[in-house]
Formats: sequence, structure tokens, C-alpha cells
Amino acid sequence: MRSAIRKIALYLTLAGALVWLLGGARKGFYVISEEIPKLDPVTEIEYSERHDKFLPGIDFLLGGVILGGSFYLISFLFPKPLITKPVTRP
Amino acid sequence: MKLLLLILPLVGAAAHISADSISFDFADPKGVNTINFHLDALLESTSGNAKGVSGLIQYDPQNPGNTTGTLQIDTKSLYVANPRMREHLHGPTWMDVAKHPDILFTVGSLKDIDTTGNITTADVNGELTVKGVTRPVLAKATLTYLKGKLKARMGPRGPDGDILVIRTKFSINRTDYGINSGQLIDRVSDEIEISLSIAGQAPN
Repeated sequence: MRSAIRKIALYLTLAGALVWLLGGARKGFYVISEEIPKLDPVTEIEYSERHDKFLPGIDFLLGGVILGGSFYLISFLFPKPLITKPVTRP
Repeated sequence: MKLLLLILPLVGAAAHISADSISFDFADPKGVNTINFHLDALLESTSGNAKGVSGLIQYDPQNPGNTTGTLQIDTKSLYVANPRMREHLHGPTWMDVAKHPDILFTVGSLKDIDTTGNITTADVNGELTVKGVTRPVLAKATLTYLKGKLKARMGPRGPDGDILVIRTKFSINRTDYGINSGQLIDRVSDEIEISLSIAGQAPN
């Protein structure tokens, strides 16, 4: 049981890190839109157009680490598995 | 009497020239007009924008120093990409958009005016009203007058007319306007950098 919970802890930490990395490893918090830069040809005003896009932030990395760490700590509540050593006879 | 009849039309013409201001409407149907703001912060600097720009500016191409008018920003259009941050931004401690639906900038006077061709640079003295607090603001601005360019911008079915582009950048302190006054100063900077590039249209 203990090792199973520790595996879950590892997967959660890795999942958080993976989502964060694949999302562009942004240093800020998650966002739900991105701004695409545009240029108005007549006025030459540089502006941005908003598009809906979910981009995970560092909160996903931290969330994965905190959740994984919590599972790791919970794993200590379960007893160590009994290791049976083979008996060697002289 | 004859002399008076000769002079009167001249006086009238002079008055017409001095009152030759064009009224530019900054509610841009193309959605280009944007106010950008930026605050430095310990964890993550906060940048956002507002697209709800409107207002009228009276601009005289022959005498840019006579520029007057008011620009208005709908506070509900203030936007940051993180929904939780936006909730805080619109909330009572920050911008309180429910109680204060507009930000106003009223042009007072222009100084150090320099005009080259259709481009005028000047120091604009104005009054900025945020959260019901009005304070004087000085901003260096560039005004570009694009005569007869409205149709080119709006398409062949658009009206003939002129465009006025205003570009400026200035800073304010949020505590001066009661924007989460004195709070989180160690984490979010007091200074808010504001920049804008906006176009107003004056159909003929």
C-alpha cells in the first residue's frame, strides 16, 4: 500500500511538472487567453487581439509538487511492507 | 456703415478659422483602441488592458494647442488574463467597477508644442479621475493628424473623414487614487505604468 501511494505521489508531481513544461514553462499564474499582436495599417497603431487559450502557469507546477508531497507524507501512515529474507541453512 | 459691412465678414471669417476644431470620436468600431497598464510585482508583474475607450477630442490642425476634450474608459473592460486576478482587479479594494464605472481623462492645456508636418508632440496637462479621485497628470503625447484617411481605414463603404491618433505613456501611483491604498506595497508596486495608442474618427 505504502509503495502504491508513493507511486501516485511521484506521478502527481511529474504530471504537474509535465503540464507546466508543455504549457510553455511560464513563470506567472495560469491564464485563459493570449494576446496576438496586430498592426493597424492606416494608423500604424500596434494593438493586440484577444483569443481564448488556456495556458498553465507555475501554479500547476507548485500544485503538482504540493499534491505529490502530501501523498508522500500520507504514505508514512501505512506500515512498511514485511520483507521476508530467505533462510539459508548451513 | 460701408466700412462696417466690409469688416464684419472678415471678423466672421477670422472667428471661423479660430473655431476650426474638428471633433474626433474615440469609440473605435474596429476595436483597436486599447489602454495598456503594467504593475511590477514580487511574484509576477501584472499587465493588462482596457478596450472600452470612448470620448470626444476637439483638435484644430492649424492650432493643436487648442486641443480640448475628455476620454473615458469603461472600468468593466479592464482585463487581465488570469480570472482570479481579474476578480480582484474589479473588486472593491482595487478598482471597484460596480461603484466607479468610468475612468476619465480631461485635457487641460498643451505646452511645449512642436508640430512637424501632421505630427504634433506636446506636454499635455490634464486631470485624471479614477475611483472618484481627480488629480492632475502631465503626459508627453504625440498627436498624428491623418487628413482624409478615414475611408482607407473603414473600407470602401466607410465614410470620408479624418483620423486623429494619440499616443502617450505616463505613470500614476495607485495610493493617490485609493486603489488598494497602502496595501501589498511590498508585493505589488505602487506605480502603475499606463500607455495608450488610440485613434479617433471625424466623418465629414
